[in-house]
This record gives sequence, structure tokens and C-alpha cells, in this order.
Amino acid sequence: MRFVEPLINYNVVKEVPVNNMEIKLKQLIVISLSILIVACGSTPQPTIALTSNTLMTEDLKVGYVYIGPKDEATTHIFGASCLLCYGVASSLTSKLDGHLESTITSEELINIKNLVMSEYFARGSNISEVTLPTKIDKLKKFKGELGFAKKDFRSLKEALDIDVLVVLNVYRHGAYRSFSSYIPNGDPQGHVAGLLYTIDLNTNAYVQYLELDEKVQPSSEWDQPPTFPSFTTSYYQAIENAKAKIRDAI
Amino acid sequence: MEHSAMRLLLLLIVSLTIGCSSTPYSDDHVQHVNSLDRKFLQDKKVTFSLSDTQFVDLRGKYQSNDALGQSTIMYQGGAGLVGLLAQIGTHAAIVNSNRNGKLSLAQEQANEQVKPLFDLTKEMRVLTLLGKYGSEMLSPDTATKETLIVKPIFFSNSEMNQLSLKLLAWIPSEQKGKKKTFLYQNMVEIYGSSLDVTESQNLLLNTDDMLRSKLSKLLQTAMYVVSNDLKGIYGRVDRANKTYFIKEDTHNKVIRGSLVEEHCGYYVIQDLHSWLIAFPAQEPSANHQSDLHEQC
Repeated sequence: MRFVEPLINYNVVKEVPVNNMEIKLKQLIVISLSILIVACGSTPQPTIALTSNTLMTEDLKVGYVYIGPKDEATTHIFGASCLLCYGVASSLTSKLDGHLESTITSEELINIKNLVMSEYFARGSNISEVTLPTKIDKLKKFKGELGFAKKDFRSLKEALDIDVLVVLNVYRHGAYRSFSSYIPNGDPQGHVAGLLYTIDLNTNAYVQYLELDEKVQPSSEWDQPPTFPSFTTSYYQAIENAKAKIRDAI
Repeated sequence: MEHSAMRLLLLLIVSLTIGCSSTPYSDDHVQHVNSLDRKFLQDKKVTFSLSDTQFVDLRGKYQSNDALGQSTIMYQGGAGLVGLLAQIGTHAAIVNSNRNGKLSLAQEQANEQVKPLFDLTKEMRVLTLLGKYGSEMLSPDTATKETLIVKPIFFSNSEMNQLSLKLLAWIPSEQKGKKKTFLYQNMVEIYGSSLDVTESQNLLLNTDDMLRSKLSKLLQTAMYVVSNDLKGIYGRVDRANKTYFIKEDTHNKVIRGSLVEEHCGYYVIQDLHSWLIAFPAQEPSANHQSDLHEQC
């Protein structure tokens, strides 16, 4: 092994007097950026499969809550990173948005909701639908490692008289289209995204955790208004793929 | 003033990117057209003619996902409006070309996976698969203006245990114009049953000319379905759409449409495109093959 001498002679670098205020400002920027990067770089929660003996305890009370998407079915645009890019992206998918809003109802999402319930029933769980006294966002934070919920659900044990809480949160459905600035990276895809998780209310640990992020490319030309047959089929395919994942998970 | 300049810029960029917004062309589907009179062919015999190729076209089945990841291109800010449009045009062209490339690569790889079957069909003529429809097949010289032109494309999954067929069919219009128009145009898709291990091995060994027999059944089923459609038997009544499933390799393929015929163990569905898709109603047991023409 050969050691190569550095080309820069560090001894010749002269010390320059720096304003104290400037140093503090730089430190502040570095700290803020670090906090931001640490938040973005945290390890995502991996999938946790429901094991065969989980929830088999007699008299275990399981509560179930479904949270639907805030918006109607629409095109979810990603990667159009400037205002003008977003304007272009929206123009390219405006007719599809109209079609989605007028034809895609929440019927299939309700089918997914019922599927979770029936799969838990099939496992022999004593499951019933509950209404949360407060929104999940408003619950206290919980400082735990991976495998634990980020919000503290433990207070719900007494409030709802349950031992385990199953949450299905579908937060997007309709179409997904990815852009690189102004340019679409592909066709709009049938899309459904959400989370299905089960929490032990004694420990706040996840008993089961599954992220749903289904994107299905239409099998032929997508841009066929007014009915968009290829795209519509791909939406239903995404729904069925999500159902298949849920069946596998439970 | 500022608003209209912004609107103009938006319009320019949208028109520039609109070409890139469309799905890359592929020759294995057509848009449904039917401007035929109900009495067209009512009491007449349907005649067929083969488009271009006389040999069997067998391809590997692939997932047609041509979506790309993020492409990071830094636009030069000081290039002015013309410069910006030129850069967007270049970016669009690169993305479009990459999408096409991804799609053709996927097709090539899928074809490579079904090479043993491809080798068996290289010399196989479509005319030998027509069975009873052979007598209704006309050569291009003798075809009339009512003759249905058909183009069969056969597919196999990568496991080579499920064959399917897409039959593109059309009657050209005599109307003259720049764009080709049609009196009738549709696609019929037929799925064969999944083969078990022994059947699959026999298919690869081509025991008793098994491949020819399987492809022939698919083609004859498609001819039966397209004849019915042409005669208006399936009608065009608005029916409620439902989700149907076709079992493919690892998942269920979704068909959204309405049932127009249940025949000899097959469902015939008219899907959202108005394409006609036939598939086995249930997985056949070992001694029950549900191919349409075996029992009917």
C-alpha cells in the first residue's frame, strides 16, 4: 500500500478573523438542517405480519376503526416540483379528474373496510366497530422504538373498553401520476394507498402493520375520454390488489 | 397582461408535453368501433380474411408498465422562453424514448422466456388452426366489402402453462380520407385454462400436436365470439358493470364489464372498452377441460 501525500499544505492557510454573529448564524442553519434531515431520514416502520396465535386469547376485545380519504377520487400528482410544472400536470389530467370525481365512489373502499372486518371474524376475533373519542392526530406522542406506534393509543383502552385496536386508514385513491418537473414519467396509474395496523393497547406496540400503496398501469391507451376504460379497469385492479394484500396479511 | 402571458406559457408547455402524455403505441389492441346497421349480415354468412401474416404470431406475456423513475434534468434558467421550451421538448423526447425502450425490452425478454413454444410455432400456418371456420376464410383477392379482416396474436405466460389469444378484427369503411376509418373494429380476447404439470410438459414436447390443438381451440372460440358480435347477438344494451377475475400466474387479473354469454364453461364478458373477453368459468378438474369447442 502506498500513502499519497496530500496536495494541499494546510499550514499555509491563514487565520481570518470571523464575526461572532456570523458563526452563530451558521451554527443555527447547520442545526436546523440537521434536525430536518434527521426527521426525513428516520427508518420507516417495516411490515409486521399478524402471527397465527395473536388475538386468539379468549375474551380479547378488538375494536375497529375505518378512516376514509379526505378527498374524492382524483389524480395525485407527484414530482411536478414548481408552480408552473404543477399547472401543466393538472392540465394534462383535468379530464381524468372529472371522470374520477363523477364515476368513482367510495363503494370499493367500503368493500375493503368490510373485508378487514370479515377477515378478523374469520380468525375468530371478537371484533366490533368503534368510534374514536378524538382524532388520531390529536393523541399524545409516544416515544418508542420501531414496532411501536408514534401516537399513544393506550388511553383508548379504558375509553373504548377494548384491548386491541385495528385501524384502516385509506388516505388516497383514484389515479397516481409521477412527473419529472413538466414531463410525465408514465401514464396515470390506478391507485389506492393507506395503512392497516393493529395496536396492543397495553403496550402501544404494533401487533400488525401493513402499508398499502397499489399502483397499476393501464393495459392499453389511457387517454380515452369520456369513459377512460383502460384507466378505470386499472383502478379496480389496484383495489383488488389491495384486497389480496389484506387477505394475506390477516 | 401578466396573466395572459402566463396562460400562453402554460398552453405552450402543455401542447409540448401532450405528445409525451400518451401511451406508447402497441399493436395488440384496437379501439372499438361499430357503425354497422343492425340488419348488416343478419341473414348472411360471416366471411373472414387474414391480415398480413399467414404464420402464427406467438408472443410472451409481459406487464406493460413503462413508467420511469424520476429523471433529474436541471433547466438552464437564463435561456429565455424559447430556450425553456427547447429544454422541455428535449426532456420530453428523452422520457418518451426511454418509455418506448423499456416496453420493447420487456416484450423481448418475455419472448425469450417462451422461446420453446415460439420455435414450435415458427412454421405453423394460421389456416391450419381454423377448423370449421376454414371454409369461411377468403383470400385478400376474393374478400368483399363485408369481409371481416382478422389478425390473431397468441400469447403465453412465462411459465408456458397458460395460453391466450387476442383477435383484432375490422371491416374497413369505403369512405375516403386521410385517416383510415372502419365500419367495425373490435378485439376479442380468449383465455385458455391453466395447464397442470403433465399437460404443460406435453405442450412443450408437443405430444399429439397438442400446441396446434390448443391454439386452434382459442382461435375457433374467438371466431365464434366475433361472429356473434358482428351479427349483433350481444346487443348494445346498457348493463350494470361488475368485476370479474381471471387467474393469472400469481394474481387475479381484473376484468370490468358485463356478462353477455355463458357458454360451455366459458364466460363471455363485454368489458369497458366493449372488447369481448372469454375465460373459463372455473378452474377445470383433471378430467374436465372447459375449452369451448371440446364439448360444444
